[in-house]
Amino acid sequence: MFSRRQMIRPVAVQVNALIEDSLCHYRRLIGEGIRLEFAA
Amino acid sequence: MEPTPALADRQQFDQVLGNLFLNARDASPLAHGAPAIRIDVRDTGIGMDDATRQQIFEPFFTTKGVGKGTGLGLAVVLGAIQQDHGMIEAHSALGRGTTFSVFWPLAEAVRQRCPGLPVLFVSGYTDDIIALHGFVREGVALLEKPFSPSVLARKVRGIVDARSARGA
Repeated sequence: MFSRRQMIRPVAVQVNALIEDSLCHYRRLIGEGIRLEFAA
Repeated sequence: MEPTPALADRQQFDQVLGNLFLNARDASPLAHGAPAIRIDVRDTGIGMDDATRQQIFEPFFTTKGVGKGTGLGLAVVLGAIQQDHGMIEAHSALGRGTTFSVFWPLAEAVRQRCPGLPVLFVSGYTDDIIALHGFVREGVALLEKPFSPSVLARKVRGIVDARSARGA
């Protein structure tokens, strides 16, 4: 069971950059009917 | 200067944000791309600050003087819109004015969600023109403007009876 658990690897991340990279992905996720605005 | 980094697992970070976004989507009555009619009411008046804006839909909240406002106007507005599964937004800038945006789901969208719901379209166009645009289909009731109360009553009676006949 424990072997199936994902390894968590916390690293130092630039949160703003991370969100910006994933914005397209998030927009697809919530669909076209909703506007997603990102204010860094 | 680079912003201070956070300590996070990338996959977990995506999971956290993704789930929060999905929750936000599901909490939005007009989400899932449901088409809506939007009406903006805009004034160039005194506007309001954020603290005021956050209270405007509360019953009995008013900025008008004693005896001038009931504090019920926007509470009534919000109640009515929520009952129609719509949405209202208020944007305001102090000294520059306020805009209220109201979103009503289209009758078409409501029909898809509740197929048994009787719908009567009212339009100022003749049904020829509307049919030309592919809007009116078989079994869709249309009431052309102008109409009298008795014509409205007959139409409503007609679609309600048709619905009962289907056993809905």
